[in-house]
Amino acid sequence: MHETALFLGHFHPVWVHLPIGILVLLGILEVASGLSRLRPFAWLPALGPRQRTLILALGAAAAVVAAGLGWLLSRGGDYDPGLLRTHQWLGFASAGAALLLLAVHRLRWAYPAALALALSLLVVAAHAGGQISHGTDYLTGHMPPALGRLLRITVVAPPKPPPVDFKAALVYADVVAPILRDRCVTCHGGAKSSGGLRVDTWEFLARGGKGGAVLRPSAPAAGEFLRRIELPLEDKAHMPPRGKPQLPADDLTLLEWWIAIGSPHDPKVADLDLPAGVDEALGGRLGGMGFILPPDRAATLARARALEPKLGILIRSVSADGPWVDVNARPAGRAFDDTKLAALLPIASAIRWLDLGATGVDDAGLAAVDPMRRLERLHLDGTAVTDAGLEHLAHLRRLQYLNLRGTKVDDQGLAALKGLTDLRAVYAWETGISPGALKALGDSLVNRRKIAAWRQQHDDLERKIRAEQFIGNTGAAQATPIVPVVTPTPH
Amino acid sequence: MLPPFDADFLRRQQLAWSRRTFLGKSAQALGALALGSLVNPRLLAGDPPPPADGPWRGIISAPQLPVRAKRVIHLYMAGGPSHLDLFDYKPELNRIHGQPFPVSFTGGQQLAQLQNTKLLARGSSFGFSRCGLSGQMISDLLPHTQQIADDICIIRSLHTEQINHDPAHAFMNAGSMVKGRPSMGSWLLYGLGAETDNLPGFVVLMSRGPFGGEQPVSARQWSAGFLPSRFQGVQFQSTGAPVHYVGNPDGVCQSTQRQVIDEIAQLNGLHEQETHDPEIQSRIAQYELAFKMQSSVPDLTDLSGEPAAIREMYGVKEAGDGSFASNCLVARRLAERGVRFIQLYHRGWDQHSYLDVDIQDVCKRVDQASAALVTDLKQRGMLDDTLVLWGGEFGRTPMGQGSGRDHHINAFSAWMAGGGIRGGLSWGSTDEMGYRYVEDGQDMHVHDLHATMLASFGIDHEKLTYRFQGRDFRLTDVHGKVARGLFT
Repeated sequence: MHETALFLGHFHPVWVHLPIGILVLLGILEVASGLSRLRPFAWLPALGPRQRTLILALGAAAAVVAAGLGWLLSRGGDYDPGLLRTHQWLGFASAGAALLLLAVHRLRWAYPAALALALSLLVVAAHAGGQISHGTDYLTGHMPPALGRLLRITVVAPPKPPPVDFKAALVYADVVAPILRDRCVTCHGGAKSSGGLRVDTWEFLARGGKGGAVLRPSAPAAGEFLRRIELPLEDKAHMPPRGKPQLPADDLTLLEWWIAIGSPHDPKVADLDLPAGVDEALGGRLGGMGFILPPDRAATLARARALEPKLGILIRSVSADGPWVDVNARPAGRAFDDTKLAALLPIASAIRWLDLGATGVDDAGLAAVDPMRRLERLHLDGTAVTDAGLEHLAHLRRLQYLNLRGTKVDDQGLAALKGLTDLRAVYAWETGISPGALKALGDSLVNRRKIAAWRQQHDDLERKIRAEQFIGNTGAAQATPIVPVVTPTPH
Repeated sequence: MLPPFDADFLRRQQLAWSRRTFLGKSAQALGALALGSLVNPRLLAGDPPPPADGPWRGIISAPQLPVRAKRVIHLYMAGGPSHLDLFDYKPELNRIHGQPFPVSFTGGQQLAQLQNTKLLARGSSFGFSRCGLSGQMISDLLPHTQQIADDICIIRSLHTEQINHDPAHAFMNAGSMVKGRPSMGSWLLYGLGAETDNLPGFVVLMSRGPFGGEQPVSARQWSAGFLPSRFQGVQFQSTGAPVHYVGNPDGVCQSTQRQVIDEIAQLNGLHEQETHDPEIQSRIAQYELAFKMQSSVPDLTDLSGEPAAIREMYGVKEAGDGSFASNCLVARRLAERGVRFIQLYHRGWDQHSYLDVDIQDVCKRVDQASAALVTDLKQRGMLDDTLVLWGGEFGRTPMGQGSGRDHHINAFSAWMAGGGIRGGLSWGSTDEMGYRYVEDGQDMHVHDLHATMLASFGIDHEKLTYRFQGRDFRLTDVHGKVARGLFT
């Protein structure tokens, strides 16, 4: 019985538009009818008593049905009790007003007032309904602030990208919460909490819904939260439900990453390792707030154009569409010092290659390299950099190439490179670095087991290719491969 | 009647629009633009244009392919080195040495000086060894190159279209024997600019053997052709002052010189505003460059700061002695300073006769320094983004010509190193006589070599074009395929 009631109740949001349409149309027709008595509007149609009765009867019936359906739906729970109560009573009042209107519509003196009352109630009830399903600020959320001041409505400003400094951005408050706010909170928030789940704060999310916890920090893959999101769109249990705005790919990437690292609340984004893809997605979500995140291509290149002549360096784009650039400070020579390096900050997150070879940069100045988290190649050859300077490289996890030729770095300095798992080439000629220490570093970075596995796969594939060769022998002296599947292997 | 060969005619005709045509075309263009920007919102935003004045930064603002190389050192073995004695080991040819060369190979083929003579097979007099971990076959004539076998990629399937030196050089440099086409260095400079304002972006050095009488190499090989002349190669002298008259005459100091240059630039600028001749821009740029070279060139060629061990590694007996070794050392210094394209010609590979003697001499002059250059670039961490190309304009015949070999276009060998090229790789092959390349997908026409070189710079060879006489020209004409397998 309960299920049937809910089934019918879910027609409420559809049906409710019918009485609204009919009664509003009646109001319009009445106004037109009234105006038609004035000479300039004589062309407007006058409403006959029979039409009026018919329209009113339909409208009142539809309003009563809508109220009934609404009552059935309200028994499903999950709605903010306060909002629900308001809407419910306004809805019943509207239906009552429609019936009253039907009753008094033949009375010339009562009809206009009753019509005005019914329509007013209808509008207010509809608005209250809208607040339940779309959120309390569904009308004013995007209102221009000036208009808001004029109407004396407190406009809830859309969430701003908060801190300017990337280092301060929090993974939950600044990344995850805005996603949930955009896509989930309407149904899983204060106004309505479907399935008993609220996601408008981390504590609610951690508490879970009627079915229990949705996050499993100890076994992230088992969490219901991500499972529902990742179900195919056709699946009934998919979230957000089919027909509602879905999660953009970048937001999905971010949620997946956040769940995978155990759905934490406290850490700063800057303290976390950002795997490939995640940092791009972060850039989209956090917009221009951080200097570490991938910036906009046009903005980067425009800034680069301005920086080039000022710093005496060369900046080239290194990808066809991304913002990534190659910064070559070598032409500026010793004149390129720590201050000038720090001036690269506005494009720091876009720098893939950085050539500081033979420049005047020293240990302290290298602090400016720390925000360049996308750096892949770094030349420091012929600079005054020592072991102390290398400590600023410890977070450059994308670094693949490092040229230290002719610097004062020695074995101690290599310690800072221990965590740079992408590092594949270190040039250390004319430094204090010993071959043994460098080899040890390489051994710690390269995954030999993976290489062995790949070798095995490669050999297997080659065997398969060889097995596909066909030898056609027509009795001539030597058999010739008719289908040379394998092109001569280079050796 | 059109005046003949009036290159300007098309341009003038395009400019001579009536008001009606102008309005009509404008409306169409606006419509197209509006539609285009709807389809692709970035169309109108675009990348910021390169600055109008200042040093040339290249026509390509964003690479079309992954960028691997930033500069080229082309060790140009002029004259046509014998691939059969250096890189292409052919035991079958050795076996039939002195016997008639099989007609099945040569029938109906174009030959240079061997046309209508009796063709005898000529094997190689030199041993070959498997070298390095890769086991690449390299002639014992090149003991130092054997040492860097794992750093170089040997291409054995090169072929060209021109059988005489000058047109073949032109073909190797510009992808066409026709005069007036830009050389590859000029194309690269036009596309990317250089990474230095103090030196030309395209520098040529020349060395030769001891005897004289080698085939000449004309300056058209590094010409900018129809590209603005600021992109042409600049030849530095290998002996004495690298650039003549670069020093100030007595009584002229740098500040006076600066004033003179500024004044001339101003006058030239006025003239340029009247005539809009791009060559005047070139001239202004060249005055400025020449002024900067007054200090950059002496610094470049002062090899006294190079440690003895380095000079020994290259085999430099005396700095600036005009040897290939000295040029290689200068080439490395040019590369360090951001020159985009460095071409080192060594004349002396045209061994029609006395090949067995002469080739030993020229290998001694070239082998050690070539290998040293690769090793030196490598220890400086520069090999990753420096593309080294070692090779000539064509190969030599597997048929003997007295005591030597004739020109041969159907197959020749070269090697590449650095710039994202896979070291230790053998690419392409020839038939058992070394006569013709094998079509196995690894065959490499000169156009393919050009396409591949441009690709290592992130340039799609089909997109680097220049409109001249009403047509978009490119280095690879209408050909060229990138040998992707060469890249790491």
